Amino acid sequence: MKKKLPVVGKPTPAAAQRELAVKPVQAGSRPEFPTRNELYRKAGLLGGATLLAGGLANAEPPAKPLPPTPSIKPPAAETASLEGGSINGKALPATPPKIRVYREGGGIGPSEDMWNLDEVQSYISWTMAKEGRLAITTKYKLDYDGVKITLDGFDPDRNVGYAYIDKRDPERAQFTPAVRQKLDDWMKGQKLAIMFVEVKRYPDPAALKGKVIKFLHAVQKAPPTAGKIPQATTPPPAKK
Amino acid sequence: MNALVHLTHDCNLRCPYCFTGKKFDREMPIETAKQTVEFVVEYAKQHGQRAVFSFFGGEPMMAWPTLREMVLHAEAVAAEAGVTALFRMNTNGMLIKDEHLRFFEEHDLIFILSIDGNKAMHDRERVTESGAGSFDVLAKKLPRFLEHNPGMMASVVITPANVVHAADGIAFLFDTGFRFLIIKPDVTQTWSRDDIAELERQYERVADDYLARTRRGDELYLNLIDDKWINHAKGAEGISIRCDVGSSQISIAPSGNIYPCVRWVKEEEDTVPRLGDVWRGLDPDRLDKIRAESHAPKQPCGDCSYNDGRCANECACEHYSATGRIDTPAPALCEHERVMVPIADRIGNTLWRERNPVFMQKLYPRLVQMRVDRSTDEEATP
Repeated sequence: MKKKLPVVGKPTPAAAQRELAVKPVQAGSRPEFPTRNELYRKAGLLGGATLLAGGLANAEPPAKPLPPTPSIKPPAAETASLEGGSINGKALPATPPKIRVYREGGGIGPSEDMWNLDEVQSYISWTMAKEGRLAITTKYKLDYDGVKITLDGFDPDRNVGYAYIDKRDPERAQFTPAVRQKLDDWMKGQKLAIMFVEVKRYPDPAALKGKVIKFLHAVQKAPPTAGKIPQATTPPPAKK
Repeated sequence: MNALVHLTHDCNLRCPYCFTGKKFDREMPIETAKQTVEFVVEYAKQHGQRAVFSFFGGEPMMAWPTLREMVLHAEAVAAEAGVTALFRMNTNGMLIKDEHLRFFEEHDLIFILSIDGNKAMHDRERVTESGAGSFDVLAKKLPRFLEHNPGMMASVVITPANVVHAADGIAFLFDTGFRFLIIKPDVTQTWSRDDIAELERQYERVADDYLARTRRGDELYLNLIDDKWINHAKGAEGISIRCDVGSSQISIAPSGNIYPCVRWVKEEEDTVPRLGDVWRGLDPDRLDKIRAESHAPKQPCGDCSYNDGRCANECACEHYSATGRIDTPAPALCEHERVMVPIADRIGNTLWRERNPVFMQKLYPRLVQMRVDRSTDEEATP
């Protein structure tokens, strides 16, 4: 058995707390509100809106599956295995990559939510490729309309892609207000469709998937028409 | 890797409850600061982590030139290593000026402010060497601090001496514009039965005030209540390790010695084994020992029904400071939790019955997102 830390020999502060005691509680207070697992499981059966509305009597059927996206099809040259979407020329794994949000720190304050940026980007790339049947190239160097940026994922044949930033993303500085305005303009003008996602708190897979689906619906309604944009050969200027 | 870097043992205040040991003029030499950066970045690189530098003290702003130099050096070293460097600080705020705030903005340094509520509460404990209260100086800076960072966290300590002001003090901070409060009772002090009764009265008022603010739509964080709700909602498998001494967090003293936690950086006493130093690195045997003891079940807690993540009995170094044992909480901590858990449940149950949107978003974000996704799907479906 490993030796324990030295026990302080002198009287401790706790020794002066004579009127108090450590007393385990056998049947203490319990919350009425459920755990997330309990509620999510229930919501999966009954529909999330029902529980939010506060009753089961108005239970609604589960959400309809996403309709196919006919305007976004894989390039003809791709093999059958890539029809369901691809990332860097490789067929998608059957299940999406996981985003592990864990806690780090504490002691002097609350511990912080931490995550791995690569995992988040892999998840979005997978979701976008899968839902939109896109051929995503990661870390795509875009040089277009006077803007030089690195996109986290982009399908150069369909002109559909995304940029994800959060407070820990070292590349977030490249998305200045002017660049963001360009992204909006391209989307409105049906030139390029770049989904810009900025996460303020922590990346939640369900929320990210919702954003991707909403974005792809918008793309489906107004597909971009800029034609194939070759990847820039020189990297964008390094910024903090 | 979250490295809590003690830039100095000195402080411009003399709060009686301070747990970081004696105050004396010993700053971290610049060579040690640079070596600390290199050690932390290398560790983060090897373990695929971010390098988080949390400046601590004493009062870290008393070592401003070193802090500034360290941030610049860390950015350069981290960029070269391909590691993300993040900067945090715990400060009493007394020495912070506009020029510092500009630097913090440029370098994304986020600070947690130590402030004990309103003037009556704050000045009871947070005093200068002459014994004068420090509230008036700090209060003038608060509007600028909150403009600089509207999400700034305030750290409040409750003691037997200031507990009578706790509810008013906490309400004052929310009214001033703070949205995130961390309240810690000092369980190393001599709390009496009467003090605990007063604590309960104060916490009931704090909870009722928090309920009212949540009902009117304020999105706030109060660790006393939110942590208990969230740990319950996450369930046993989802509870995070809230204190992870020596695992992803270490404390580095001005000498370069590495300790498991800020509470154990007492170089003038040196009663706690060090984990190593920034030149030779971490001692794996000591690290294993401290991790194992930190994660072991707490001795007297047994099958307590609050020992399901709701009880804040996770801080190994707090136990060591209070009881001399890493696995034994102080009686004052147990009394505090037996007061607080039912209060948090009462407020949570009320908000749950009301399906309060702020409460639902905090505890069940995916459920709220499901509704958003669903309405989006239906809107887009022809």
